[in-house]
Amino acid sequence: MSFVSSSYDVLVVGAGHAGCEASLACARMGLSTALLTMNPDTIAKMSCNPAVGGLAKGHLVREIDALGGEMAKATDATSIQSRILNRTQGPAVWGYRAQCDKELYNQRMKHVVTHQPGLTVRQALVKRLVVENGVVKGVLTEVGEEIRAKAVIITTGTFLNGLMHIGDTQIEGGRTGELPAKGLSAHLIELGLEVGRLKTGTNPRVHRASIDFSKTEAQHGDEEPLPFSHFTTTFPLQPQVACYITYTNEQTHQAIRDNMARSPLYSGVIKGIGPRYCPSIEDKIKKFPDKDRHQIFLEPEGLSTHEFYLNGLSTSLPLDVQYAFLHTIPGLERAEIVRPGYAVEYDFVPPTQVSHSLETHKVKNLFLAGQINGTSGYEEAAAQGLMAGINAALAVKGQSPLILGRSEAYMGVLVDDLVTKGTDEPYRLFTSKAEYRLLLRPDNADLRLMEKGYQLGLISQEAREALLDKKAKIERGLQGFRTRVLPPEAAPNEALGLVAKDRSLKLEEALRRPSVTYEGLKPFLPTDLLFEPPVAFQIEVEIKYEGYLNKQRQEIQRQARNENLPIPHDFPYLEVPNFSREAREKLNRIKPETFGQASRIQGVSWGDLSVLLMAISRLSKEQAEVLAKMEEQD
Amino acid sequence: MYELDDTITAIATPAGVGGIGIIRLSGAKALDIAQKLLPEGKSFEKKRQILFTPFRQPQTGEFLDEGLLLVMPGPQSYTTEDVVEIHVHGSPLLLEKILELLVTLGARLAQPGEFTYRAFIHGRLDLTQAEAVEALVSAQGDASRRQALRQLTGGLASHLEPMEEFLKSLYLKIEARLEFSEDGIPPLDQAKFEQEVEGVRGELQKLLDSYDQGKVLREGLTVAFVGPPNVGKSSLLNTLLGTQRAIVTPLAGTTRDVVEGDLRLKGVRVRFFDTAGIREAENVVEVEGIRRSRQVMEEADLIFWLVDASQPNESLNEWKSSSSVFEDAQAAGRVWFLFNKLDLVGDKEPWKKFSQLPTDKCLGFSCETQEGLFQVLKAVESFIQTPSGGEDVVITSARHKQEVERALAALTNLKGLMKSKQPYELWAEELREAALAIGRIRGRDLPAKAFEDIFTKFCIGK
Repeated sequence: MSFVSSSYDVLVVGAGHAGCEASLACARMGLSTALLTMNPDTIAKMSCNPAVGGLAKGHLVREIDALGGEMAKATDATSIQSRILNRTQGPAVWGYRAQCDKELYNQRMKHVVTHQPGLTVRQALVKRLVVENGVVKGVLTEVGEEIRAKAVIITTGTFLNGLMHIGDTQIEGGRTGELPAKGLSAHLIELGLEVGRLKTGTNPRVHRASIDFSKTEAQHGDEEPLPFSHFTTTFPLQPQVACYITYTNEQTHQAIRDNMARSPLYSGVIKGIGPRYCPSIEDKIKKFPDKDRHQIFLEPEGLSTHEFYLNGLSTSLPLDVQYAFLHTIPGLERAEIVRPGYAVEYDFVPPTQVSHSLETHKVKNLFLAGQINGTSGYEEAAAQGLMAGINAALAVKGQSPLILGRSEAYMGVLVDDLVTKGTDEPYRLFTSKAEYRLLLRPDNADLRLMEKGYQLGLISQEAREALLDKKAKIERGLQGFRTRVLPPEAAPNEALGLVAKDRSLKLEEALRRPSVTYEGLKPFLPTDLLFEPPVAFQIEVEIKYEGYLNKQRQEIQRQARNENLPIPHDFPYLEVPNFSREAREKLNRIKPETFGQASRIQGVSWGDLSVLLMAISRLSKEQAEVLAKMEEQD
Repeated sequence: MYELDDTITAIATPAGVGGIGIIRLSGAKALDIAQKLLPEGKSFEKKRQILFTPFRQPQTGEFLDEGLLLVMPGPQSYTTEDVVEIHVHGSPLLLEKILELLVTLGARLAQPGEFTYRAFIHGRLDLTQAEAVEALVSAQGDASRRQALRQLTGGLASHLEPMEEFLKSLYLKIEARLEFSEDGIPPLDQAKFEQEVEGVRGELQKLLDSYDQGKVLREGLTVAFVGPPNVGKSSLLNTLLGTQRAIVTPLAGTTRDVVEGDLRLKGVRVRFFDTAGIREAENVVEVEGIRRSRQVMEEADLIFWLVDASQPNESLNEWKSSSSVFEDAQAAGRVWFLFNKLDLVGDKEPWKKFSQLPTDKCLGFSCETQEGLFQVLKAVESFIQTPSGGEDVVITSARHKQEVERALAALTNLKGLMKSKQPYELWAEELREAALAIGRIRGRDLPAKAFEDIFTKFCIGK
């Protein structure tokens, strides 16, 4: 027997990194929202290592922040070590990265969601969805409670039929010490969704007091660390600590090789596909037998906990083997394991079944975000959570979804990759997946996205005014550099590599020289061209990279027509003759929303695209009129 | 993907030799570009019309062919843009040459289906015909892809694949260090890397040069007949062609102009030029004739120096005093000495008396008895077999050339970036561009899986 307890605009199922962003976005956009979790004490847990960011992931966090999400602020508030990776390799590949205190992070996020007006956090284990005429209407919990809603977002992480492995021991659960969510995947299959299985691994955690740090190298954070969030004014807030580096050796490898057969990865017990960029130590030793050592990072999990995360040693070997190989590693000879490493298998919904808004093709107003879509990583999850939250809220309000293009944001690249190409391993974002990497920089996330955040109601009026002011200053600065000549005092100057005849150079020409920086020119600049660092940075990058940036902008322009050419959602692929079989099957499954997206589907040829174009035109005169209008606007 | 703001061009008739070949141009600059192919002083109005006209290379004035020019200003055209069709003789070499010319004049090579795409986008598509066209386009797309792949037989494909792989591996070396800077990958050995880049750059440059060397395959072979008056240059030409092209009289200095004739050998067009006798000329007409002879000699792929076997000394004296142009040609192995009138002498190898003559480049024949003519043709043929001095990898198509140029430009940029110690993110852009360009020649995009090779090449992941 079930009863209807209450009703909301939006329900979010799962309170991990995706669920928090999703529910906060909905509530902040003015919708009554409930965040359902199996355990209100485990909100925004860092199940893997307590670090946020890195290459591409750091970019995502900056974008989440610019759009009005929470992850960057929570990271800044709880960061105990902060670094920028690749600092010498150019601003587009800076990797913002922070080591967080995992307890503080989880407490901070719990505080934010529980104090958010319009958002209720409730304990519930969802068994089924209530679907009427193809539209989701709410959820049914394991205790027979029916909660109604206009939209539902599922963000269940690794909990759907979660099964953990340590050697040949199997434990049902989504995370060590926690229960699995059973029943929901079977129900999703009933609703017509396809469900697959993935695997991911975690590393052993050891006791701080059992580590001999004298045998390791310390790795410190940046001396002047930069915060993730555009809104963080005081940083860092927590004491900064070091991480440590040690290495495996031949003995370690031998200990693992001797026990390879006992790894569930190789005994055939684990069926799910794991991530290649995050291989287990047994994988690394098997695939790179010539490598004589592997790097291990010892990362503190927090200021008050004594646990250290052994990054680089993801494993599902039996506990005795974990001990055996750990004790061969310098610094870890006496290591005591607090939590063993384990692998976890879980169900996911191959993401070609959702559209760019992250709404499922099959069930209206049902959105999926995070690991259920086949991704891995807190940042990828949070980014999708934010997008799903925004789009669920827009759907409830009867407005059209927010879809970010591949040329606008890494969030756009992430979602487009997922819904267009799908994935057969846990998907991680890389900067090289972005066609326009030089434009999608972490430093300009605000310039790219904050206005959209403001339009949605996720960014304050005050922040928006600051943004407009920043944009105006950048414009003014660029204008100045492009029109004015180098002040005579600046040349000759040995440090800047400028000689006397460079006096006739325009400021932009001088700045374009590899030896010249804004900082170097600063003493010679007129006062109206002196700007605060974030503005100066934009001017410098824009001028130094102008050729590359303009080339990418032109390319975006050229692609715009295809990206803006819509395909009706109910396009009858099965009835149109002349598609190749592969193209027909893939187009029908993926249901591309634009011609540009269709062109990115693997197996769809030029011929297929021509057929598609002509079929669209035949089907819809309205479409032709839309096109004619687009034509006029050009 | 398709762009819309530029002018596109493509050969509209099927690949291979046909009676007629059509090249189509569409876009804002179509009329202007076509205009440039017309002889100087000739122009056409912007209205629907058909012109019968010679086509010329605008820079050099070189005659290309004579044919029809169909002018179809927009919007009354297939694409609704300004469209021009050039109808000429259906020689693949000629069509490719005109196509290349159109590209240098500002057009871009169209992708499969792109004309139809424009027609659709501009709302011009004839819907009643859509079904037929779409079947055709999809079939044609596949056929031309297969055709393109077939073109890449032997040398080029096997040359490009390792080059693309190598460029990809250079790209991955940089990406691995950007994406996995924390994963203990050893720092880049920059000196070695620069060397590797320089290596591919050199190979690309060679490939690009081969486009010019591949001229023989594309444009045919030119053979110039040179020598003192009355040694039988015109007679040889006429004998080879089997016609009375040149005016032949026993009077020295009859041939005052460059006379041309052509035939096909091994599928390649061979053009023969009969030049005026090279000797001190007294009258003005002959001076002009000699000037042109020297020019032909300079441009010819092969020079036949004709010697009168009955008076070899007289013929060869003139050779000794000839120009540096000739010396260069000889050094390049482009000169053959052909001894005519063999029927008048007993010695069948008269060149052996002249130690300075390369015996492997000497032949004897007689226009009178036709003896030795087969060997002369063989000599021409042998040159066709190795059009570029043994270089077997040749690019022949304008599209391939364009992509090789792109790749080369990217690597040249990269060289500058490495030198001025610019960040890796820019290196990656150039390497990606280069690998993409070479990949496009092979008819494929940098596969989405390219990046994933990183996982097999580097031990990555914490």
